Amino acid sequence: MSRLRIPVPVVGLAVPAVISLAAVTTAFVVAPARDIAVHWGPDGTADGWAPAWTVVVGMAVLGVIDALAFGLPLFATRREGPSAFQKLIAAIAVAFGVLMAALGLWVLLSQLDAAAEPPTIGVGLPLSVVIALVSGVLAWFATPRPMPVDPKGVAAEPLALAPGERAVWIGRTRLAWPGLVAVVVAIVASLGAAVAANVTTEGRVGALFLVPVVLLAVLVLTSFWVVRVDDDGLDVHSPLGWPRFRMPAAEVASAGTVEVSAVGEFGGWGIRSGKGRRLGIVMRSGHALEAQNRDGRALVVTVDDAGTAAALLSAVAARATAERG
Amino acid sequence: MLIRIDPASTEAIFGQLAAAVRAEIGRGALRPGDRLPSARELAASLDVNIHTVLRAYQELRDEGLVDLRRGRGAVVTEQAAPPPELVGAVRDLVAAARRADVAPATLVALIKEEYL
Repeated sequence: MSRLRIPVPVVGLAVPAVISLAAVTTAFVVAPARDIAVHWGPDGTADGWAPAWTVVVGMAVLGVIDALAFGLPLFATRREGPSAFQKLIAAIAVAFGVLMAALGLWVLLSQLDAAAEPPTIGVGLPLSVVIALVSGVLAWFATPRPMPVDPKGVAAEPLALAPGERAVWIGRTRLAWPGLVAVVVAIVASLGAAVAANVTTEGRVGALFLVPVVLLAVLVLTSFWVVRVDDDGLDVHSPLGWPRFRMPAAEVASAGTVEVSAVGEFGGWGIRSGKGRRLGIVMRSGHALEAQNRDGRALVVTVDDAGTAAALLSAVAARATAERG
Repeated sequence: MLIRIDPASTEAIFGQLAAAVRAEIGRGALRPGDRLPSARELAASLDVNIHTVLRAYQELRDEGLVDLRRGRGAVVTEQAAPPPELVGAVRDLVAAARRADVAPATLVALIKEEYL
């Protein structure tokens, strides 16, 4: 790790709390004792008024909600480092806290002059959103990298095969519920959006229905896999025969098992590309078979009993190498 | 599941296949509801005749370890999983055989004899 990383609970809890506290204190000091504009219409001009102290109270309440709503997940810490989810929550907590502080302060500070016209929201809102987004991104990069449980992996002891003995390992793996929920939500949401868009435009955007259809096809084609290790090497294919990924035995440099984090390492589920030329067939987090190709690429498949598969793959790779001389 | 075949063995290939599936059920690598590989895929990988694989699957069906259904292939039955106390007893038995330097074939012969 080359640079300073700040623990997730500090970024996700302490930073928003300090920002909120500072903003509320400032707001309390500068708030004038009269009504100010607190609501703006769709055209950006002020259309709602309230005493200035309500803005201060609102900022304080939202600051406390920010800390409570996002604080809890941050304390389920793992020894190895935060999960990607926790990093995201911390970043959202910072962005939300900064957004509330910036908006509240802008509302108050822009109306200190009682004689002036109330400002339009056209500057304050986009400015606050940009500052909040930048803060969120900074918070993401300030927290430690998400760490897999066992980033190295364990090379498998080759299975002892007698000369002439034939062996095959076949396993199945399918999308576990976290990934399944994610895809089903995406399908339902895109279907709902397509229906809504076509109702409001009298059916002029029918092409939008392609999105849920394509997602459904992806779900069917990439959620079930047969993993096979035999004399030919490693073969991972959908029960329909396509898509299919192979690594010939003679090209296998090493085989082993590894613990993977679906979101943390591969950014989700399905056919995923990971860091360092790793292709992942990621159906869940946890135990996975990892095959290293001689050319530097790797194939990672989350499948039960991966240790046995890796042991056989090591053995057939050694045999193929010996045969080639 | 891991299947190993030794063509040099005197035991018939289909018998070796069935024994390998039984062993995988025994160690928990195959659980009730799991599907065995398609006979075609297994036959191609092991370079054996598809009818040899089907014969092994039929033997397992006759023992009540798998259901054979058209379109779904061979599925491990609920009865297939051996009771945990049996798995433990077998582990103890094998450990005892190792201590006494009893060859696996001898132990299997002793067990078969006990059944008769």
